[in-house]
This record gives sequence, C-alpha cells and structure tokens, in this order.
Amino acid sequence: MTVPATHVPPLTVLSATAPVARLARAGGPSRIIRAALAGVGLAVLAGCSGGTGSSGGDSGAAVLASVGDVIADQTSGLFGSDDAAPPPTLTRAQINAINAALVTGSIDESPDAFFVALAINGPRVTYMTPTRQSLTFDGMALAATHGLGVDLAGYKSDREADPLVTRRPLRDWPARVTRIYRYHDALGGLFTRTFECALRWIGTEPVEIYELTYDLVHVEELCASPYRKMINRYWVDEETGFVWKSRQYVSPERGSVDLKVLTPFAP
Amino acid sequence: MSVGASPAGRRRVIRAALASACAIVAVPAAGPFLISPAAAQEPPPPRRETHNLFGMTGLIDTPSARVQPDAQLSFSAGYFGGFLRNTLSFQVLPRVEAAFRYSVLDQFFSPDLDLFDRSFDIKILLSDETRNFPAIAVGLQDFLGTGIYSGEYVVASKQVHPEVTLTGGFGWGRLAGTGNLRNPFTYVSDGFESRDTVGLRTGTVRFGQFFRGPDMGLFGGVEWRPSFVEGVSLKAEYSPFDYSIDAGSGDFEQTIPFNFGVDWQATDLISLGAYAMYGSTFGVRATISLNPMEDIAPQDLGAGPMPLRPRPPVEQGPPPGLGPVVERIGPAPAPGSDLSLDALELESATDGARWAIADVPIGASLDGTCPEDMALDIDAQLGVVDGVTFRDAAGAPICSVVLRPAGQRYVETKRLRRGGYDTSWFADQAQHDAAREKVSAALRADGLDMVSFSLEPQRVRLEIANPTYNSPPKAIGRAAVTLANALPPSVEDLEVTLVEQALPVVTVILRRARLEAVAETADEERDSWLGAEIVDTPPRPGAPLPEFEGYPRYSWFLTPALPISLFDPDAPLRADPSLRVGGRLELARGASVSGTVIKSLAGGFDDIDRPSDSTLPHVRSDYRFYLQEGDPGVERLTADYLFKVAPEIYGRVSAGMLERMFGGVSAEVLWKSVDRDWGLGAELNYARQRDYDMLAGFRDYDVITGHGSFYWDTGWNDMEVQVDAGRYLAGDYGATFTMSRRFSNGWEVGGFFTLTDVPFDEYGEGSFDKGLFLTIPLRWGLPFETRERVPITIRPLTRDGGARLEIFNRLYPIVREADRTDLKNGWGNFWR
Repeated sequence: MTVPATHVPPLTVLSATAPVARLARAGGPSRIIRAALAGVGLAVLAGCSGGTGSSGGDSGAAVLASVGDVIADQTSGLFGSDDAAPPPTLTRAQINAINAALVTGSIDESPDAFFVALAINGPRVTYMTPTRQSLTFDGMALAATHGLGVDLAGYKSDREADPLVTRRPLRDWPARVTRIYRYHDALGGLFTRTFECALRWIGTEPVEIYELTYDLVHVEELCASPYRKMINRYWVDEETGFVWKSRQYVSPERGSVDLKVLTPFAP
Repeated sequence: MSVGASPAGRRRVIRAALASACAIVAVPAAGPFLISPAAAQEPPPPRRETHNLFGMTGLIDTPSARVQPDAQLSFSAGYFGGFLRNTLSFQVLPRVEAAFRYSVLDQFFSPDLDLFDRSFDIKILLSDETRNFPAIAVGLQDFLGTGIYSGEYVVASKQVHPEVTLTGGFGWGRLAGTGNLRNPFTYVSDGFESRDTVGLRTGTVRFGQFFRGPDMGLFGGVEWRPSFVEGVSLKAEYSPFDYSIDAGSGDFEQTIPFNFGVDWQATDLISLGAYAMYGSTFGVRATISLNPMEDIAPQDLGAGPMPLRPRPPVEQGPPPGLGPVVERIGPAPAPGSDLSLDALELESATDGARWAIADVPIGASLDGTCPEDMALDIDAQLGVVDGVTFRDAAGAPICSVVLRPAGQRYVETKRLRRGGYDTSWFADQAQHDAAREKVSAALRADGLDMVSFSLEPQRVRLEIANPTYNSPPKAIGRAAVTLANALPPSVEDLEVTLVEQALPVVTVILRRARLEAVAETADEERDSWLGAEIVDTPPRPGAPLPEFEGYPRYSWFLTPALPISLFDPDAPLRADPSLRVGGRLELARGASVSGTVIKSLAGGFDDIDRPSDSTLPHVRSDYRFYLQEGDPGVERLTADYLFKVAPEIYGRVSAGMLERMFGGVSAEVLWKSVDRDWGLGAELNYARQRDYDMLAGFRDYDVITGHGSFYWDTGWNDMEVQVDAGRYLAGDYGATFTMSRRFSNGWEVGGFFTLTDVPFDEYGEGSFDKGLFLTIPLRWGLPFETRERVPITIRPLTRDGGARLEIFNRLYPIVREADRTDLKNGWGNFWR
C-alpha cells in the first residue's frame, strides 16, 4: 500500500505529525511479539556478540529483560542459530502491539535489529536491543552508539540550526550543517571529528517501512572533515521535517547505520 | 663479548602465558590521558617511516633523521651477507627512538665460530623539519654492548618534493668507513684520534669512545615514494660502512659503497624490504610494527552499558522560593511590556545560573498567569538571565519563568535540595534485600562482583571486584549506572569502592543527580569526573559493611603457557610449550592460599647444558636445573595475607614457595595515597633456595633480602620511575633503577638496570644486570573484555648479581591503576 507521508495511518503510533509512542512499558508486548522481537534483536548489527537480557532500571528495562529471557528460551545465541533460517522479522500488527517507540538499525545490509526506547536524558532518547546494543538520538540525529564495535561516543551540533535536532519543514532546512562527532581513543580519552556537511535534495521517493509506504524526500548530505569524507542520507516528510528513514554515520571503522522509524517517540 | 664458545648464563626465560578466563591472577597496570575541556580534534594520520636493516628508522644500511610515530613499537629482522639482525625498537618519546638488537654474524671468528651479539641504539631528533630546514638527529649505534657495531652519527633529512626525501649525514666509528674525512674533533684535541675497543668491558656504556677515531665518514641517500604505487618506497644510498673488520662473515665482499632497494608497507602492521647491497649481494628485511596508543581490535563489541534512567521528578509542590515555574525557553524578542516593577535585582545563583528577582507592585494584576513577556523584557534589560522569579509586595514568590537551560538546572537543583524523595522504604527490610539482590544481579550481568553493599536512606556504599574490565573507570561507570537505575530515588550519594585482590584501593563518590544531569550531554565524561570525589578507602569503608558472600571461596584455572629462552648461542630461541594449573583458596578477606604448577609438554629446555661460571652464589645462574628437573614443578605455593592498616597504608605477608627458585617468608608495607603520584614501600624477606625439582625441598643457601622502594608516576609522557635499594639474593647491596612508559590501556614498555657492590669483573659477562620489559594487555588486541596481561622481561644475560626475589603480588602494581591520576586519564571510559 502507498500512503502519502502526511497521511495519518489508521494506527495512532504511526502519526507523522504527532508521534505518540513512549518508553517501553512492562506488559506491553505479548509473549509472541517479544519472541519475535528477541529473535530479531539477536540478528543485531553484523559482528555483535550475544549477551543476556538487562536488569536493573524500571519498567522499560523489564521489557528488555523479559525479551532477553525469551531469547535464552528460543535460541542458542548469535552464532548458534540456524543460518539457513530467514531472519526473524515483525509484522506491522506486531509492531503496533508493542507499546514502545521502536526503530530498526542495520549495518552493511545486515538484517534489521530492533531497538526499543528505554531512557530519556534531557532531549536525548536511548534505544536498546535485548542484547544491549544501543542507539541514542538527539531528535533524529544519531548521537551515540554502544556495542557496535567501534562506537560513536557523542555528538554535537548547533541545536537551532540542525534540522535533525530541531525539527522543521523541509523547506526550512539549511544548506549547510556542522556536525561534531566524538570518539574514544585507545587510552581512555576522547577526540572529535568535525564534519562540514552540505545538504541537497535528491527527489521524492516512495519508502516502504514494514508494510507502510511513505512519499518522502531523499536528502543527501555530503560531509567532510580534514581527513575524511562521508555521506549521510535522510528520507524526510516534506511538511513536518520528520525523518522516517536515514543512513547516519557511526565511525570510520563501522561505517554508517541504516535506520528506520517504526514507532516514533513522544515524550 | 659473546661468542659461540663463550661462558654460560645468557639466557632468560620469558614467560608469556595466555591465561584463561578463569585465571585467578590478573596483573594490573595503566596510564595517563587527560580529559580536556573540549576533546581534541582527530590528529592527522602519521607518516609511516621505514626501517633500515638495523631496525632503526632509516634508509637501507644507514640512518635518517626521521623517527617513528610516538610509542611505535617495532620488531625487525634484517639479513644480508651473513649478517642477521633482530631488532626491537621503540619510540620512547616523540623525539627519542631506542632499540635493542640481537645479531648473528656468520663465521665471524672462524668458519665454525659465529658471533652472537647484543647491542643497544638510541637516536634523538634535535629539530623538526621546517619549510626551509631539514630535520636533524643525532644517534648512537651499539652504545651499550660489545661495540661491534659501535658508531655515532649526525644526520639531516629534508622532503624536497612531496614524493622525495633526501638524507645526508656524518658518521663516526663504523660509520666513518674507510676514512672519507678527518674527524674534525681531532683538531680540538688529540684525544679524539684514538678509538679503542680492545679491553672494554661488555655491557657498559662507552662514554669515552663517542665521536672518536681519526676519521669521519659521509653517508646519505634518497627515498622516493611514487604516488602511483601506494605503500612503496624506492631507496638509494651511499654507505661508508666498513665491513672489512667483519672479515670471514660469509662470502660477502663490498665492491661499491652503494645500496639500492624497495620497501613495501604491506599492511598497517607489516612492512617488507628487498635490497641490492654493496654491489655484491642482496638483503631483505621484515618489520612488524604496532602502536600501544592505537587499538588493533574493536573495543565496543558486545553488551553495552545500560542507559542511565533519571528518577521521576519529585512529586511535591513548587521548588522553594520560586513559586510555580513556567518555561519559556528559546529565542524570542523582548515584547516591551508596560508593567512596571517596584524593584529588580539580580542574584548570582548557584550552579552558575543568573537569576533575576522582580517585585511586582501592589495592586498590579497578573491575571492568574505568570508574565512571561515581562520575563523576556527583564532578560533584555539585565543582559541575559536564565530565569526570573516574581515576588509580591510581601516578598513571597508568585511564580518563576525559566528562560534558558541553565535555569532548568537551577530549578531542578532547588527541587533536589528539598530532599523530596520518600525514604519510608528504608524501614522495610524486604526492600533492602530486594535492592541488594537487584544490584547484585545487574552487576553480575555486567561482569562485576559485589563484595559488600550497605544502604542508607540517601547513601549507598558498594564494594566491587572487577574481574572483567581492563579500564577501572569503565567498571566504576557500570557500577554507578547500575546503582542509579536500581535503587530507590532517595539514594543520592553513590559510593563505589574498587577492590583489588581483597584490598579496597579507591573509593569514588558520585552524586546521582549530577550523573542524571550530565548523562548523554556533550561533555558527559568531563562533567561526571568533575562531580566525582576520589578518596582513599579506609581499611573498612564505613561501618558496618556486611560481607555479602561467604568464605571460604575456591577457584582454579588451567592454561597453556609458553616459556621462552633467548640468546643461548647453542640455540638462540627455545620454547617449551607447557600447561599451567593453578588454584586459590580464599579463607577470609585478604587471606588466601594459592599456587601454580607447570608441566612441560615437549621438554623444550632439556638440551640446555651451558654451565654457570659465576663466582657468586648461584642464585639465578643455575636456572636450567629448575627448568629441567622441575617438571612438573611447583612454581609457587604461598599463603598470603593482604590488608590495609590505614586509608593510605597497605600490607602484605607471604610464606611458602615464593617463586620458582626460592621459598621463605616475605613481608611488605606500602604507603600510597590516591591523591599522590608517588609512593613508598619497604619489603623484608627471608629466602632459602629451593631444590631443583621444585617440590618441597630446599638447598643449603639462604639469605635475608629486602628493599626500600620509591615509586613515581611523573605525569610526563606517561613516564614512571622506580628505585629499589637494598640487599639482593646473592647478598650484594645496591639499587635497581627502572624507567618505563605506562599507558592507561595497560601497555608498558620500560628498562631497568641494577648496580650493586659486586665489581663488574666479579659479576661476569655483561658487567651488571639490566634488561627490558613489556606488558601487553590482551584487551588491546582482542574484541572482548579481559584484564589479562602478558608480561615479558628480556635480559641480555641471566647472572647472579643484582637478583631480586620475584614476588607475584607486590603491592604497588595492585594499587597503582586506581589513583586519582590514573582514574582521570581513563575516565573517558566511564560511560562506555
């Protein structure tokens, strides 16, 4: 099915203009959904090792913990699963039944890993898989990763100027943005890579995200630091500026992660 | 000089054991790196300079004025014309390159007699290359050793084209060649005419020979790195090196003084070279080069940290003194409201916020809403304020408007100060137990062990053992987030104590509100560090702290081991694949019995037959008997008690088979504060030599030995200094001087020498004890967490003077990674 991006789907969790999902809550997903989520979560970004479910925290963490338990019940771990079997996935109905904001992440064409919103720290929201890989977003900008091999430790930009952080209609997006990424060095310190990015519209494209298709504007962002070049891509709702799909930079070693918003976050 | 038929005692067993995950002994260490207010920009990728056949940065057989990237560690093997040179080089400092070389000179003395030679080099970069001037370096070749390659040089290198570098220099000694020029120093003093190497002691620095000799040579060459072939360097050089004194070495003859060749940087780690040498032969070189300051394995694989989940806001009325708070954050022009104020004042609030107080005149109506527009006017009038509180005529707060994020933090702080979180849970023991179990389970999931746990309404004290994380700040961070996520909201002060081998080595006190405020902010590492209090841990941190898990506890491990013997002319490299099994019984906190047994699998040392010629008591030089007869052998079996007597004073008492060759009793005390970069230690031992079978028996040699020690982390380029003075195993008195570069990821590269009252002649070959050591953290090269480290010590010779007991659990290595400086340097891993 194809729907215009500004169309409000029959499911409230997919409103492009008014995201409504919140942090994961205990008792949200059914056991079946959790099983699916867990299975997919195992197919985390290429090369990630397995782990157990989390503990501590409150209700949101409990969702992940229970998901982790299901993993233990159903599989023998990342490297013990049947390679021939298709990677587990979720249907839109299953996604809607999960009472939590949800995004997927994929690196190098790996199967989608499902990240559940788990913590809010000021303007930033952290999403996590049952195997404890996590993505932190500042608005729609990927601001940190954990467990991906060589992680993005932090992110900074001019909050007012960055359309990923302060959402606005696409017509109001700037032509240039400075993005500052932060990384760990080998000695317990940190360093930054400052990228100057130039944005340009590629055109409107239909984008399917788990059974729903949106008409989104593909925006390409060419970025250069003194020693490196990289490209970010965003598929943007023209009216609201909401980024439903993106390809965002993690690190030189890890490359970029392909992100899709299944259930937007709302505070 | 060490030749094929020379005396014994020049082999040193190097133990490089890959301990398994269940190993009970983790060797600590770590180093410095400052968290700057703003993280530094990515540095430019360093230019990779090539090595020469001597394993130093240079052309083919001659040096250049280039050096390696700081801390670069390289092993080179170069061969031509019957000369094999194995060189370990290290960029000690950004301007200092040093090397240790083990050379084999084929048929040096006769067709049946090779020369096995150890030598040390050093090169100092005097000035960097600029637009108009070349880089200039001075170097000493083979300045500590037999002197067979002894030479000095001053060299300059200049990049004259993006692809072309020229090098030229003056050389003395072997680099003077056959007399190109007269040594200019001879014009200053006739004393420079002679350069005697005869009769010099081996293993001493030949200060009197530097830059001497009648001649001085010229050398130089060109390196071309064509842009169209990545990683390739083409080289040509003029080398005055005089190989005539190496006569008899193979069939090599110098026909021309020129060399040509190509170098290829095959991978980041490996480079290769092939050369046409002196018009008559070919040479090859292979170098493995790595840098402790650059990870070679991904460091972020696996389960990441749980995100810190801030507590829900306090359910209570408005913050004290502010009234109801509304937020008006974001750019907005001052609207120019006409409401006049009786008084306007600015108070400098805490936490750096600027807060305005405005008195609303009697009779003025606010229509039941907070006058946000007026707050904007006040902001414009006073020049940036973070918020405004409106008061009535009686001085009571009516309401407040927050204008900037700093104002948000100010309001939040006021809320917290009110201490509004419910503490009634504290009376319920079931909630204590639940919290403890929750924390314990979460710590276990993070690879940490809870040692003790004590909860108060607004404070928690947690002791953790860290068997997992190479970086202590990472363990502290994981524990702190666990506490913040698991405990009732009223618990504000989080005290985390690191326990190493039962010793509480440091306590870090963190404020939960601060962690919540800085988590996921741009400077979260720095801000969390600034809010952390680092204190010495008392012998028992607070009171009472119920022990969480009971004693006795038992653990064991089985691991492969690979002892290595180097530098025996009969077989310069021997390895003995072995199995090591160990166990540990912990009877009470700090009190344990532990030991290891090693069993050779292949008898790799069975053919060592070089007898000791030492005139001192054979405290080390009979080591071959222990290797051969102690199979299986008890490497160590000791009862140990480690304890604290004061917040800054640690103690250790050990008894049993202390090491492979000695048993006895050992006592040590260490003074080391977390606030100081230096410490003092004292150790006293009664040691008796063990039987060669390494079982329960002893020989008839015993000695009282001990040292006073000074430890200093200089803070300069990660350099550490240690001086140990006292009595050694052979009864000799003296001191050991150690200098090393210790990085915060656990890498350590250093050297040491020992001078005692044993005369050089009596000591024997080498004159005095000296050596190099490396510590390699396995985490650096592995994609998963481990604290295991591989310690390697290389001594050119093993003799009996200046020999010290090898105690496996000396106190300083246990505590040194947990002081303020080390924690600060590694704090970037706190949220990792």
